[in-house]
Amino acid sequence: MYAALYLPSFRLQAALRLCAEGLPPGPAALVDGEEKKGLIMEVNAAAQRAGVKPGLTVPRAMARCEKLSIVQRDPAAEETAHIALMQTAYALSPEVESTAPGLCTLRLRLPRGRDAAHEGHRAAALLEKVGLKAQAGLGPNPDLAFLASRRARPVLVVKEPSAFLDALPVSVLRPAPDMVELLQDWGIRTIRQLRLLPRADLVDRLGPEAGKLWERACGKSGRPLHLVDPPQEFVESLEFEDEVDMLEPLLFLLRRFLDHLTQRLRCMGRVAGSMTLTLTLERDAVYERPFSIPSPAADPDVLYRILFTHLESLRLEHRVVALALRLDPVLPNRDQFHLFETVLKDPNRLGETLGRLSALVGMENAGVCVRFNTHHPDAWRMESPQFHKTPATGSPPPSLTGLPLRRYRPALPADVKMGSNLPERLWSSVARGAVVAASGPYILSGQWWEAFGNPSGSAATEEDDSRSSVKDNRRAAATNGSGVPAVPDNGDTANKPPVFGVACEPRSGSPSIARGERSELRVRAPQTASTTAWWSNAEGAPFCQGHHAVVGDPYPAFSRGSLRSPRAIHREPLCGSRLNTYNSTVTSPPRWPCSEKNGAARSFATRAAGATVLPGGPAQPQAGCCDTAHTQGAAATWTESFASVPVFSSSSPPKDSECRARRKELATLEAAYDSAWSREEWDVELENGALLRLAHLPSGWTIEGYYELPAPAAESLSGFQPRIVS
Amino acid sequence: MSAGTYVELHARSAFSFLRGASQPDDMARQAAALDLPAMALCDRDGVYGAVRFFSAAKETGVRAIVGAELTMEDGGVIPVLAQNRTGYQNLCRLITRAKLRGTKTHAPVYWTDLPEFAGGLVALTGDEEGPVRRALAADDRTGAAGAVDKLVKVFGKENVFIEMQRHLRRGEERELDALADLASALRLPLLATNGVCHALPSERALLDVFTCAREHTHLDAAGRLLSVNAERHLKPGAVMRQLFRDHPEAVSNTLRLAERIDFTLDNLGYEFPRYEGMNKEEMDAFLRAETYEGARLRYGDTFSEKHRRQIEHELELIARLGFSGYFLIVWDIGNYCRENNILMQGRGSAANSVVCYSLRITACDPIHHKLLFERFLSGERKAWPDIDLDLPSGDKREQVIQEVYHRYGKHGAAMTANVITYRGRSAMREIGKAMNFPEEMLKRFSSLFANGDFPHTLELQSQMMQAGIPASHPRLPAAAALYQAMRGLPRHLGQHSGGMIICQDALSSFMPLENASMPDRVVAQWDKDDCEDMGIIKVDLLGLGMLAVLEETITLCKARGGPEDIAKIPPDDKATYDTMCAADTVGVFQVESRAQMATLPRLQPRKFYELVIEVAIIRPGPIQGGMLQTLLARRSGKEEISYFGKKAGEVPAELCDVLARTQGVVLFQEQILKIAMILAGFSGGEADELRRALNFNRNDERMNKVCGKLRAAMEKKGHGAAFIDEVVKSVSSFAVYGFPESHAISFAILAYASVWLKVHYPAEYLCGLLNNQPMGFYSPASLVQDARLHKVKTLPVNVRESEWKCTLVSEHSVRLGLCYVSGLSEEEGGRIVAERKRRTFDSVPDFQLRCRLSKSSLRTLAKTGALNGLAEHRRDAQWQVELPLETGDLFACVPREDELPLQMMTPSERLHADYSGTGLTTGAHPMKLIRAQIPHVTAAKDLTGVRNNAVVTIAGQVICRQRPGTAHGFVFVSLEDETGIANAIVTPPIFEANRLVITQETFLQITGILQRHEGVIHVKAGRIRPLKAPVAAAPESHDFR
Repeated sequence: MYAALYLPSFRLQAALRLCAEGLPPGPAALVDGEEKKGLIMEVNAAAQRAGVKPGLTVPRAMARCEKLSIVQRDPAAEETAHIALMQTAYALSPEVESTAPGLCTLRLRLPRGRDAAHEGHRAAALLEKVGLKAQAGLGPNPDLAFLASRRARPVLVVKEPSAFLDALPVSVLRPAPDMVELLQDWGIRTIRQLRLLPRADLVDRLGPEAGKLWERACGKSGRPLHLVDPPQEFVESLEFEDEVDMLEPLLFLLRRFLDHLTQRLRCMGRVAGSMTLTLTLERDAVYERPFSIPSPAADPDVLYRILFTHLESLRLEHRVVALALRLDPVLPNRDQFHLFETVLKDPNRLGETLGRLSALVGMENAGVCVRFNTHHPDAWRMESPQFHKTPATGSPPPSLTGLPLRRYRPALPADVKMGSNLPERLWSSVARGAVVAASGPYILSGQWWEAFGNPSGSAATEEDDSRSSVKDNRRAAATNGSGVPAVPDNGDTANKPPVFGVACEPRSGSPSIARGERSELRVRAPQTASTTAWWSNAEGAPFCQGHHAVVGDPYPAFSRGSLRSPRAIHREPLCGSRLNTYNSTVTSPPRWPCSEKNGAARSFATRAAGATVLPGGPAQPQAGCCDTAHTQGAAATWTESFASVPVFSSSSPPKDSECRARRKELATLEAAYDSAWSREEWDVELENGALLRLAHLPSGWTIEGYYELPAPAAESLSGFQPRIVS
Repeated sequence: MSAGTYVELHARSAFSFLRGASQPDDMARQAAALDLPAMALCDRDGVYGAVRFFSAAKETGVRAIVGAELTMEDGGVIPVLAQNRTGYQNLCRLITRAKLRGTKTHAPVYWTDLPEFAGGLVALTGDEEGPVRRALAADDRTGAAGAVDKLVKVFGKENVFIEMQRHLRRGEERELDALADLASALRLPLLATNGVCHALPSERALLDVFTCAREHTHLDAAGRLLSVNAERHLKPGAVMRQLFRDHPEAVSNTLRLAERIDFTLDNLGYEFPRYEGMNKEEMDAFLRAETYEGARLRYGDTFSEKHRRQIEHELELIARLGFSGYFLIVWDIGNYCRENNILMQGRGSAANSVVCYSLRITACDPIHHKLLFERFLSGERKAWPDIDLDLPSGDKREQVIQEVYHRYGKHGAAMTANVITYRGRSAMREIGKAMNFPEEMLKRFSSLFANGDFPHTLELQSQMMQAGIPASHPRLPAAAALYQAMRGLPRHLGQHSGGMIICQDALSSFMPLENASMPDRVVAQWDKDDCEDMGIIKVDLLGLGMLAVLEETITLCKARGGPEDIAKIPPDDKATYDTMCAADTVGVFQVESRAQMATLPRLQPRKFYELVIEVAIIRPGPIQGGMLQTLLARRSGKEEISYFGKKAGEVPAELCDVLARTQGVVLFQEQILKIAMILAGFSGGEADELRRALNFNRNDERMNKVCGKLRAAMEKKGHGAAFIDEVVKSVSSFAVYGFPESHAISFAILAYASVWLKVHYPAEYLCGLLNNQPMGFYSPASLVQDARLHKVKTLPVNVRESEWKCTLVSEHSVRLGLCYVSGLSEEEGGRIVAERKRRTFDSVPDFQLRCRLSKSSLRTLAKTGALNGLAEHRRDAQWQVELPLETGDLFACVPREDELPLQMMTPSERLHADYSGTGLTTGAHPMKLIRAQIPHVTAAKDLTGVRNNAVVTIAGQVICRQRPGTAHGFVFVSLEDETGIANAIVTPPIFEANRLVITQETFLQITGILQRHEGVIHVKAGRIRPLKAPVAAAPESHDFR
């Protein structure tokens, strides 16, 4: 006995199966958004009743049925649904054929006396549990079982093949499309009509395929099943009888899972490229954590260590009721490196460190910092590090362009007095005084399409929380590809993760982040001059400065998290007149057309002249939480420049209220990156020598950061130490 | 030139296609508003917008400098400016060379070309796309210096300027310093420009959208491809001086350079070619001789002093204006057509000229029809006369066009361009793509239009919502604003349907030429209006499908003793006018549309001039102006004829004479001219100036000025204020519907001829129609159904009988040609005909073996019954053609004995096969098949028996949906059934409620109230439902055109 499990309107079902709002009650039709001419592909029963049928154009279908829901085809969902179908089929029989998308055929070896229909109902019920509506046909051969499945409601067992076949349309035999058309032209519509055609003549005209079709029409084809292997998924799971609130039982089980799963991986010649831990909690809560394995491995010890590192610092609000672990198989890495190319000594240790950081600051806040592709001067996001990706080897980035900028995140409010179109005097919490030189304005604006026609429009402040909803919408749109933003979330920024970025990673050589001791994380200073950092010029392109090499792709590892100090910094050079020459002698009088005060003598270029290297500026005590990080190694200044790795010991997590406040403050800045924005920027020099970047936003003036002078110049600047001014 | 502080010398308009966001005229106006004394427009690889820029600049007092950005082979872009006429001509020739050598999308200028054409040109180093700044951006100062050096070598040191732009972005100071260093080192002058891409800052958004379109991306992904700010707009001199206060000489140099440039489009130096190299006197004499010879042939014995006087008057004027060469060249084209048996007829205002009539350029006698020559040509008008020639569309028209190219060379003749602008669908499509709206929404937005150029009644907001873009969509305001801003901007350049320009010297010296998409065609960079503005004369070689039909029909008629040409068709034929009065005009010229057919029974044309009125009055203008109702009322005697509110005796008799033929209604442009001449004492030229001002309705100022002049002149002549008001009111409202009488007459001649042929030679006429599709309002399926109602049988395609084209079988039957078999190539069709001529086909295998057609062609032939006669029936043929045969198979043609396993086709199946295989059926109409299933539906022919205001249901295949702009949103739907055509009127609310049903369904049933008015019947739709289609592959209806 053979059974065919058939999912009617498979593509529509698959697309609707993952709908958050569930199946639409009314008429629905499927279209393929990729097709140039959007024709209806499949319809549900309600749509069929309204006169909508496959092949109609969408406007015409809507003309017939005003309330028709148009559903886009989702190939990924179809694949998932088909895997679900196959998995269910394996629950019934090990001999399964993946006949077509949404259709599988299996051979049932039923015990004597067992009703075949019962198995069909069982299959339909199982599939219903995974959200699929199926029809099961059972018959003496695979083709009959298939034909029965098309007619089943939901189960049909064929006992008399010829009587069953006669009235069926030819199309149920699924002939090739051109053959369907030809048979239609011949007036052959039912299987009976097809069967009446002389087989030999048919084969003479239409070839052997027609012969096979004819045999199927006679219910005679007894073909062997094309058995397939089970889907390549490596998942182990267990539901606990009692809730678990201790780490040990989880670790014990995970170790056993890993032993089994890695054994299976090895049998297949695969290693795990990533894994996903899913903890089902009380009250139906689920905690899911994917892990990217830096160096794909099938070693249970390595994988176990990654899980262990994560779990030991994990705090959950509820007890665990179920556990699942999935490994994603990949081929072992067999990259051949060049002579002078080295790999991380132990990438998995870096992975562990990042896992640890992620546990502290949130998964979405640890990774590689990537600039948004926008003119906004400080727009970036976190991306998961691509450990297996070879660094891009494109054209070298442009060389040095100026002084580095230390950014304040968020920017600091300031009061600026303007005089004859130039900033004249500045008051702020960190610096104040008369402006002796200024360059600008540099005018930037973007994202106009998000705030078009809005009276606040481009005049919207960067602190405007509502912008975050727009940004989120855009991201949602980018994710689902629909372009239709979701309902704005009214800027619930409190739930947004805090933003903070530090740390660096070499393009090659030793990792710059190493695992520290148990309760703290250290940033290791670069050991050689080839260390790289995330530096960029004002246009956002990575650049090379002094001893520092060019940052390749990926950008350095980066973490974002809660800070004791709300300010984060990263460096950005001033891209201004003549500043590019400060490693050499200035040979001609500098031109600084917008600098009005005190003439060119005090121009930045002059001040910068004679500088030789850029080892990093003096430590800035308010930039990060240096008290919990400590440095070591030769290049202490380097570390200090980036000495803001936030570490919360697992024994002393920050207070929730503190985190929330910081998160809100920082999230507004992130929100502004994507929203409509416009600004004028100025570079100014104060009378005490401080070089600041100011921004004039619609909401007022801010200090975006300060330029770090090269060491000799900085030493001579005793006047400027950004400080809190009451 | 007024004193100014700055001249913008580097600006791109929207004619740089996706690289600029403003119309050239807007730029000129903005330049004037900013008090710039001059400005240069440098569009990318062309001077596309130069004329518009020049015209607008002239109006606003700005001196328009011509330039272009040249895309070089290495990707660099060099802006150049034309200093003098030589420079301009070099620029045009240089671009032409690159364009004719390259492809439509890639036609770079070679560095090796530059020296030859560098004379008279000034080169700038360009913006960020220029070779110098590109090198600087790559930190290659040596490369930058090398690029400048290259330019200096080509253009000379005094003709190269180092261009500086400051857009207030970080990093530009480095480049500016480097440029200043470069200028200092090479001793070259600096030149400040703003690299303008839009006139106003607000247009930056549009530029960003264009950038997305150009880069095939969307705003979310475009990132740094977009503008960093909105600084690339036109800026006043004070702002530029402030911006460049560190380089004041760069700003001053703009003035110096502008002073040096003495070329504007005013001194283009265009000259129309001389006929056969004759000088002016020779051409005048030759034209006179040819005119008189033609007149003698045309008029014969009726040639009188009146004719001579008119000819003398015209010839004198033509000679005085120097247009003799133009007339001779058009005459020569006409001769070529006659020598090659190509039917040709002049249309438009040329028909007002007796010279044109004598030269056989036009077919209507202006003296007989009392036409006004001044409408065509007047001594006071500088513009060239406009002669449009209608030619049979298709190969014959192409033959004439190629002949012109042949005579004047690829650089001497070109088609005028047709600037395709962004309209509703295309604008939203571009914006939607940039906004990253889903494709599905954009498709739905487009499908909600479905009304072509006619006013759109759906609000934009509502349309967007119906397309699935929610009102709360954050990008909706931006999309809506951009939609309005983008409409009307140029999208790409097409070629005009028939306008050709030719030139005495190489045309490429006056405007750049490029390859058209069509092979062997060259197109100019200016459209016909631009050419006209520049005084470049154009000859319109227009394709008219009906001419091809008439040509073919007359050829067929000759065999049955019919007329030998259109001129021999008997005038005032009663049967012909009867047919028109009965609105039985499917497939004829001009009077076949739904609106014409609704008017014919009311106007009841019985004379030729009434047909002229009929042709002229169904136009948006007269309908909107209420002329139609007034004219019909006066014709039927329901309203008294008056002349601007006065009776016949109260106005000058000459005025009555002018307006009497149109019942006192001002319908034609010639009438306006005559009214002005009679009532205001205007000269012919002044009157024509009035007419031209009325045509420029968009310019209220010009119209008010000319109306004021008319009023003053009439007051001077002593007319009363009320009368003057009435005249001025009529004249002003006339602006929207001006139509030349001569043009109406030319068309009426063809309309009469087509109706006459349809009445007296219906089979020949059908044959001509079927062989010249697509054309007209009706599909071949409808034409065949209409012919069937007129007792003309259309025989199906048959390989034993059919030629490639349709053929006349008898006076009542036409055989469909093989060209109607879908998928059958002309080469395959030719093979069938050739084989058949060699020997008739014996059987299907014989046919297969000899013709060697593709499987799909064989299947279609079998399915459509084209193999009937070789097989028992269609299914038999279908069964047979599937059997593969090999050449040399001795038994292939042996008759088989086995029984056919396939059943004969049912009528319904035959219908399906016909429509899918040939697009029409020669059998019963699809509605006949389902007639029994719809007993509640009244057939079209039975509507005459239904009482007025009765509720009735009509049903049929939709053959026409129309929504004229004059109908206030009413939609006219025509349903065809087996008995004829039933018409329905849909009110705007019913249309909006059933928009998609009406526009998408191929078969409809409409229930409503039957309304009968002066013999015209229609159903006012109340309920509209789709009708289950009796045939899937119905031909497309004529929609909203």
